[in-house]
Amino acid sequence: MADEPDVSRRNFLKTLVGLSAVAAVGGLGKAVVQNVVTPSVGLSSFPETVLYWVPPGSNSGTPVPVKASEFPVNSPNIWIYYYPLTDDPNFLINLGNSSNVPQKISPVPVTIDATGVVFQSPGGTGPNGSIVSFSAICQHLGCVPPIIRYYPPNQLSILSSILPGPASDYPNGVIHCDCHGSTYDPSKGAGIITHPTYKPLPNVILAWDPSTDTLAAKNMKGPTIYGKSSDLSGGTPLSNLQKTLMIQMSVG
Amino acid sequence: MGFIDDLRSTFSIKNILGEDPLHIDDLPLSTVPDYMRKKGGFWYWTGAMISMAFIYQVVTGLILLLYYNPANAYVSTEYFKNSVPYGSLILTTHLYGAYAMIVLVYIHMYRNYFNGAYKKPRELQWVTGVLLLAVTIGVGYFGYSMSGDVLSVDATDVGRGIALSSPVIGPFIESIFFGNGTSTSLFVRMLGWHIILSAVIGGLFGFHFYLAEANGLMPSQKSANYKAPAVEKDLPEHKPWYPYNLVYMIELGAFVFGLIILIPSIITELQLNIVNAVPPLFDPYPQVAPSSPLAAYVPPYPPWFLLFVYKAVDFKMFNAAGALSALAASTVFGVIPLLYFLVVPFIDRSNDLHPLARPFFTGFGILGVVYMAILSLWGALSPGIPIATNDVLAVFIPPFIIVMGGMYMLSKLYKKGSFKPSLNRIIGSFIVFFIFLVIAIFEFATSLGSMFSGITVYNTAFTLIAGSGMTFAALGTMRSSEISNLALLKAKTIKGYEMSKKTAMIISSILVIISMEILWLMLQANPLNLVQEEGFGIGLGILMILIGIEIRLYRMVYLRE
Repeated sequence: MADEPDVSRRNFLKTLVGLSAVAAVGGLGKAVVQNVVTPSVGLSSFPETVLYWVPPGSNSGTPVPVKASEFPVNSPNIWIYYYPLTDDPNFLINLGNSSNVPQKISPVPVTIDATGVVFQSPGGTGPNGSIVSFSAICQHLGCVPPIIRYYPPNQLSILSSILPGPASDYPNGVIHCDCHGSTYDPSKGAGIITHPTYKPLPNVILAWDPSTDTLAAKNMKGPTIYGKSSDLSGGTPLSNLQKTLMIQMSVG
Repeated sequence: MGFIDDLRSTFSIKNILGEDPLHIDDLPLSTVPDYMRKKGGFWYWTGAMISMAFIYQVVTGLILLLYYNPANAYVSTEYFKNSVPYGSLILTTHLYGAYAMIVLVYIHMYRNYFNGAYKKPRELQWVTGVLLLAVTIGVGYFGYSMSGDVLSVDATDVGRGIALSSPVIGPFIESIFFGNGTSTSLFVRMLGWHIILSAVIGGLFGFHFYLAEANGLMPSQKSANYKAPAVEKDLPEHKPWYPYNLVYMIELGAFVFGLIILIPSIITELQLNIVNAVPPLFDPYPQVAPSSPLAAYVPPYPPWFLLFVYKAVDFKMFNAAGALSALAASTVFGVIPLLYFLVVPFIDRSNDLHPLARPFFTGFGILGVVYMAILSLWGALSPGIPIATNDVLAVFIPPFIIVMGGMYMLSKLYKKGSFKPSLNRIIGSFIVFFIFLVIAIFEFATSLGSMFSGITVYNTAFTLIAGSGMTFAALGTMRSSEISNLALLKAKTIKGYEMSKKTAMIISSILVIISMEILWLMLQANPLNLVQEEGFGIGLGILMILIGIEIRLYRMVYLRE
């Protein structure tokens, strides 16, 4: 067995066994990996979903479509609805100045600092062009309301040590996250005011129907919702794609 | 050449990690005599095969755990099967892997029982083995109940009822194993106990294996001179564990895993392509949900490995126990045999290993197999039909007389020295005996049973025919043993395998090419299409078996085994 050709023949035979083993392990590995990757769930396209609420002061408690003209300006409470999937909360904000007069919000280019990509914000909607909507999950590390919330212009004194400029630079208030201090500008497509976030909040494109005064979410724009590989996957679709109910969170 | 050799020596494992980095040479594992790795040697490795099946079960079980939802057991099982890539393959092979494990546990137990392996010094090793059988059946029962299909609901209801009917502790047992009555609680418990008992198997197996290594291997009866204690520990003529045993273990593993994947894949493929190709007892897929209108058409079978107890519950003689009848039946046919096996090393204290030298215990073992087979077959063919005590006796007494009488006579011949068949011959003829006798006894019993309710020409004739068939089977077995005995006396020494290195190279190369083609075909399969997915399984099973064959060739040519 000591002669040279025999050793190489022996190694050749070993190699053959190894090749077969590689084939089997390859097939097996493919099956196991493909199996343990959880099949994705979600939607194939964005639904057009009408926002419902139980209006403040309503006695019946029955949800009705949101009337854009009745939606409170600079609401101190947080209004959240879920869209496009049941685990995706979004803010609905009616932006106003310090005297609570609704302000028209125009589309502006917004830069995603992390990638350098620029997108055009959808701007405000509703009778005054003042209603905007953003994903309510902070793009920094995923904190959700009430930790991240909208601060109307008359509350900006709370953030005076954090904001880079005087309160007058933010006439329509800011969205601020208490977790690590990221701040977004709701009048400029939730663009970044302060780090640590390097991405603006994803913008929801709203549609306002002037004849019925109702609001509907119909698409998303900007970065992907935090923690997802795509806005349409990674969660359960709404049980009724035609409507989503808003919930109100009061802030201490 | 020089460059390649340099590379090879620089990057060889020896250079990087040193000589024997895995300390294979230090493993405290027993070395074994050569015949245990030769043809037919797999009989000495039934324990190894069980542990391989167990490993397969643990791995596939943990994958299933990633998807199982006790709050939605049936839906999550169907989802895994239909909508997760390779889900069907993993689900069906997990089921059949369990079947394989249970069958192998029985084979392992009976092999060692007939061999007298429970005798000194292996009493405790045997006791842990019997406990492992009980726990394995328990894991199987809970696993079977987890799918949430109509059969699993039946199985849990029966288990519940039997548990509840136990005096005093009944409600506690029911609550501990089956939860508080809500569906979620039930399936959380099923999942929990399935995993806990599997962990118990792991622990008990560790102990069992340690005892096996510490007690030393049990050599063939012949080399132990048919007397206990039969111990053969690391003799100098044994070849070293590495590479001989390691390579053999890899070969055995390739065959075991290959078959565990191949067999259910073929069965499932048949089931998918041919309507009713597989009897419901062995259906690789869950049945319909209990709420389905089709549920009424599913025959109410337990898992096949519990059919014997299921049939015993139909016996009218247990009606005397009233509300305890089901408990009584499962005690008589389940618990008492188990207790017998637990204590047998402490009853049979002689040092005789030969099955014919201890006819009483051998006869009991054969009766255990025969009764279990008859009861299982009976349960499968006439599920849920009450059986009168006369019919039960008509079925149970003839095998008793034949087996015990036959064993008595054979052992007399053996002790006189005129009958010395080897164990393999006894097992061989026993299998023939077993198959023929079981069929004959069953036919005899059913026709005799129908005679009790009214004698007709047909059933009288059939009783006579089946009765003579039964007698013939018994006599034929004895005769075949005798013939095999004579053949044994003339038997020549078995020739070793001779194969030239060139032939081995050519065959192996062809097998590798086939392997690659199979892999290529496998990669084309759509993992969400049930038919193609099971085709993938067939390919994977064949791939592993080809590896086994290649290693066999390697051992033949280079390890000269």
